[in-house]
Amino acid sequence: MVGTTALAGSFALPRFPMSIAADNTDPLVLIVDDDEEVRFALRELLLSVGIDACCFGSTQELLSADLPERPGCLILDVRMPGASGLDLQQRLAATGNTRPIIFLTGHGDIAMTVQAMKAGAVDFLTKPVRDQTLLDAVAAGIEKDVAQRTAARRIKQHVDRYTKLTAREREVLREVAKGRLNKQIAFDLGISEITVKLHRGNVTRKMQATTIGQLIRTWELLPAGIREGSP
Amino acid sequence: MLNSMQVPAEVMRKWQEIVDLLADILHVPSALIMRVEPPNIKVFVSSESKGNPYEPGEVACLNTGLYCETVMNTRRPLIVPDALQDEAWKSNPDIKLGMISYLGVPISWPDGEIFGTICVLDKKSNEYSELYLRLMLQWRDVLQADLRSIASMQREIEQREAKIRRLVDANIIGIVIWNVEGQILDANNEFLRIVGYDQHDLQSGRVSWADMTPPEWRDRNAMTVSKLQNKQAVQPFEKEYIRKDGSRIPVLLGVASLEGTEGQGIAFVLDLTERKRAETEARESERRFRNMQMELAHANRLATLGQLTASITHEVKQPITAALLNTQTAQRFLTRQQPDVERAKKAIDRAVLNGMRISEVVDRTHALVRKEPVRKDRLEINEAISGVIILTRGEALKNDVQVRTQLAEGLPAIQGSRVQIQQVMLNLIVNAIEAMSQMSDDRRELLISTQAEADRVLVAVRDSGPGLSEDTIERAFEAFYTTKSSGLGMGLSICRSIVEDHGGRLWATANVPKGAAFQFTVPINSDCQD
Ligand SMILES: Nc1ncnc2c1ncn2[C@@H]1O[C@H](COP(=O)(O)OP(=O)(O)OP(=O)(O)O)[C@@H](O)[C@H]1O
Ligand SMILES: [Mg+2]
Repeated sequence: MVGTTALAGSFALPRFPMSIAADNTDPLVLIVDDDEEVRFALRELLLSVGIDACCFGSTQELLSADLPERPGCLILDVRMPGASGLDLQQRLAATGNTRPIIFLTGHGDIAMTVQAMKAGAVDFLTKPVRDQTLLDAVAAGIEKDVAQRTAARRIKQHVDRYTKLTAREREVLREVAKGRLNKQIAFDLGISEITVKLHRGNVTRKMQATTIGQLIRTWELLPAGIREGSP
Repeated sequence: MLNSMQVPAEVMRKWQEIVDLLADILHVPSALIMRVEPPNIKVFVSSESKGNPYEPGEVACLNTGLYCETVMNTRRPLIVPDALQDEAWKSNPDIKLGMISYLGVPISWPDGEIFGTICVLDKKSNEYSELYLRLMLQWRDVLQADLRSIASMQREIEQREAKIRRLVDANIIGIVIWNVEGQILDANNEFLRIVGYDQHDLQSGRVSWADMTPPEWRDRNAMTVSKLQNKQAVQPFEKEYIRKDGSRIPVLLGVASLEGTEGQGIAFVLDLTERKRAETEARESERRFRNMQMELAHANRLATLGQLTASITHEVKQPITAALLNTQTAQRFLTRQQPDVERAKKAIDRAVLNGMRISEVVDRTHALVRKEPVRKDRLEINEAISGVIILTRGEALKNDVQVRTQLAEGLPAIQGSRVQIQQVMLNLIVNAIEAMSQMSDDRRELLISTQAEADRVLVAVRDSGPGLSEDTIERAFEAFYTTKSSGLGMGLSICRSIVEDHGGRLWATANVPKGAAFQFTVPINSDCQD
């Protein structure tokens, strides 16, 4: 837990809280608003509940910043000079940045809200916003990101394990996942049923599955490209 | 007509001299100038000579066979050397006075009408030589020359009188003869109309300027009369008369004393009712015009601000958001298990700051929405302009317009109305943003600058929009000229009248490299420099 470090007397805001360490895994909220006072107020509110935040005056500033790999979410003003919040949402999605976004707006019209929510925003709040409402949204955003990251990590593990399989083992795994019997697999691949069993044992071990059901679920969690890409 | 004419005294003296000389030269007792006054003939001038029986002013009847009658009838000279020897003259009336010889010639007016004769008479027979006759004719010519000048003088007087009469009778202005006792002795119909009296009132002496003068004017009247008595000129002045029906009427009065009269004067009186009414009407319509202008300016401000409501709302919501978050944050810092008073205090400081920001925006907006009479105070133009830039910032943002400012430091103050100058800026900025937002993907830049010039301040609003063509550049300032579906076309025309009302100028030019540049000047008021 970080964040109670008192700021120096001036109102100038350092971009990142001072106590950030590279290996920190605490949540970090990114605030983008062109109004310095609003930025400051949001950051202090988060700080009061022990959440780190860093501030950006424009979408350009955020895009050119070197962001630490920490779970968290974005608080975005819809209307800002330069590219708007909605533009940023699209840019981030395109680069695979999946941080949940909470939109803040002076006057949310329905069309804008729908567009933002479709693109995956977690919430769309209008200014002025109640502290609890915002904190709830931030908590939900962080939770979503943490879950996303956990899931992503698990998938990455599976992929790593999958890449360690031999070509034959991958073939066997795919057939097993289709629910075929060892006999059928052996016939299709032109190998003996014993060999199939041997491969199957290796696959289960390498994929760190304990049951056949677990093995099949692991296969299904692999990104489609990887599953199909196999020979 | 001419017959009744007066012969001036100095001419009479000259004529007397003539007959005296005549009697002396011809050695006769009587030399006369006779004048006809039908049915009589009169001794007009008679020589002061010994033995002259004719007295000036004596009258004789015509048609009694007088020598002179013959001269006048024949219009020819007549010589009678001795009437006693002459059948035709034996019994003429002058013989009774012993006058038996006669030499006379006729005198005529310039129009040919007979005036009378100049003649000599003797008690003894007298041949009257040719020389004498010529002398008489010479004198006669002198007399006729005098009559000519008398006649032309008379004509002049008549013409002048006719002109004056025309003036009096035309009844364009009231004309009166008055005396210091307070009476109106004579007046024309116009005067009677003005004061509501009639000719009958005038003749019975019931019209009195003293009575017609309202009490508050009595002193002024007394002063005028005494000035006139001291032969001082009196400027025409305005006053009121009380009419016969008791109502009052405004008049212009010019007075002069009458030469050669005792305590009398002449006056002209002009009815000012129409003019006063026109003046009141002009004042009234001027007031209505001012009111309308104010209404219009107010409506324009409301309309222009109306276009900005979304942006201004945003402008207010930002500090409200910040202030609310600040206070809620402070609460959280204070109610934590381990309260952080330092941070809470800081958050509250920021809340206060944001509260002030809110009230500033609200004040600024309110100042432009209020409808109040225009007051021109000492004004820092940069400060007034900055207020408008803040109000329009949101609108610029929404339309992707970059706003740059170059406000010169240390500008002298001007004398002006804050709300009006801000209105001009508001219109120019909104126009610029609207113009640029029609353009698709070009950079949208708004540059607002101020600078001091010799005796004025120059303000410029430049944009990178489509600009104005040669022939629309002046039309843009016409009222109701607009190219916008929702525009009234009042903006620029109101701006121009505001700037000109401040003694300045507003004009448009092409901006470099593109767009429009609207510039205006406001004179520096040296009174308001510190
Ligand atoms: N900065 C500008 N660039 C290009 N054209 C302009 C600019 N400012 C004004 N104009 C032209 O001049 C016209 C008159 O402007 P004006 O402000 O008087 O009226 P308006 O903006 O049309 O209506 P409103 O009464 O709402 O102001 C505009 O319609 C526009 O065509
Ligand atoms: Mg306009």
